[in-house]
This record gives sequence, C-alpha cells and structure tokens, in this order.
Amino acid sequence: MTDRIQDGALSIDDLLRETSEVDAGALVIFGGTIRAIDEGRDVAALDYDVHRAMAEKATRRIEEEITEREGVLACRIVHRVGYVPAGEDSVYVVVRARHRPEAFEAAKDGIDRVKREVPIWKEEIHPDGSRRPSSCSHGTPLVAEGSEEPSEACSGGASPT
Amino acid sequence: MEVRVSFYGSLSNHAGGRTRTVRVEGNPPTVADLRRAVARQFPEVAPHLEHTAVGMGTELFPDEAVLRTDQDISLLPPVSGG
Repeated sequence: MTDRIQDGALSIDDLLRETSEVDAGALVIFGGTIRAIDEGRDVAALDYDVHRAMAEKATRRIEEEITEREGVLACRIVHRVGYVPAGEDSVYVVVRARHRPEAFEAAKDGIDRVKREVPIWKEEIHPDGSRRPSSCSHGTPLVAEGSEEPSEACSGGASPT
Repeated sequence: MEVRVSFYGSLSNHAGGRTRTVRVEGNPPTVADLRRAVARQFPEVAPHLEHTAVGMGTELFPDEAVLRTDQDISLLPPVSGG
C-alpha cells in the first residue's frame, strides 16, 4: 500500500488501483496543487515539515473513519512533504462511494481533517530564496484527547485549499 | 532531569534546531514542567507555547501528564498541512 506521507511526486494511479471497488458508483478525487502566486506574491515552492510517525497515524485514522461512513467504500489520503515546487501536487484525497453525495462530502471532510489533524507544517519559499513560515496564528492547534477543541483550520499560504 | 525534545515547524527555527536538550524540574516532571523549562531556556519559543501541543511517541498529552523519557518527546505548533 502506498505510504501516506511521501517525499517525492505523488501518483494518482496507485491510489485508484488501491481503492478499486466494483460496487462504487462514484469516484471523487481532491488534489491540492501549490499555487505560484499567493496574495500577490510569487511563490517558488512550499517546504513541508512533518512528524512522520504521528502524521502517518493521524492520516490512517482519518481514512478509517471516513471509510466507516454509510455508503463510503474506500478512502485513501497521501501527502507529500519536503520541497514541493509551485504547480506540483501536495495532497490527494481519493474516495469511492456508492453514490456521489457521500463521495463529495467524504472527500471534503477528508481534506478538511488533514488540515486540522495531521502534524504537517509548511513554509513558503519565494523566488529570491526568502522564506515565510506559516505562522502559528494561521494554523490549527493540535489538542490532546479530552482537551479543548481546536479552532478553524489554516486558510493562509500558497497551499491549495 | 535532562530530556531530548524535538521542535517541529517554525519552532525548530526559534529553538535553533530540530532536537535540543531541556533541563526539566519536577518530581516526577510533567508536561507543564516541560513547557516552563522550554519557556525559560528558549525565549523565542515561549510566545508560541500556548498553542503548542506536546507529544510523546505518537500521542498527544495534556499538561498534567508525567513525562515519559522512554518515548520521543516533541513540541508541535499549530498545523498547516494541505
């Protein structure tokens, strides 16, 4: 099975093969691509940091919980880390379901949860080599089980969503 | 007690590297003791600790948890994947 956290270019073909389901009438793929311009500023790449073991575990939990939903037959999520040039994909969420409503909803929830729950951090790299970390004020705090709920997910930076 | 702590995301810049040694007070030391120690030893990290989670192994722990030195201890700022 494809690693959920990857260092190189992502392949959608592997995910399609791994989620193949004869009962699925709907396939939804969300792909996130690094924007070349963010808030009027040129972006050369994003550099993603990761707590790999925790990120793998968190992503697997999201996949499992989405797959348990009524009508959802398969869900795979992969995230690229390290240096990702503008124009290349950083994340895929693949959902196969019996019908399209649950497939669309599951794919949306999948990427929303990745942004809230998976310990990955990005830093914007500009053409002149300068960097802009995704500041703490833009991210979503992780919380230990039973603690206060996190706030809204990050909406800043040149990442796709 | 001295523990090795990994700083992730922007915290690694503030701490001057991914992994640093932190001297923690307390008997036994807790996650809250670790936060206090990090704030003392790494003033640039201190402003970010309020929204930083503490992990041991692959789990997150609240402030009252006792530090487990047999596990990798990590400081995790607000996430920004996707």
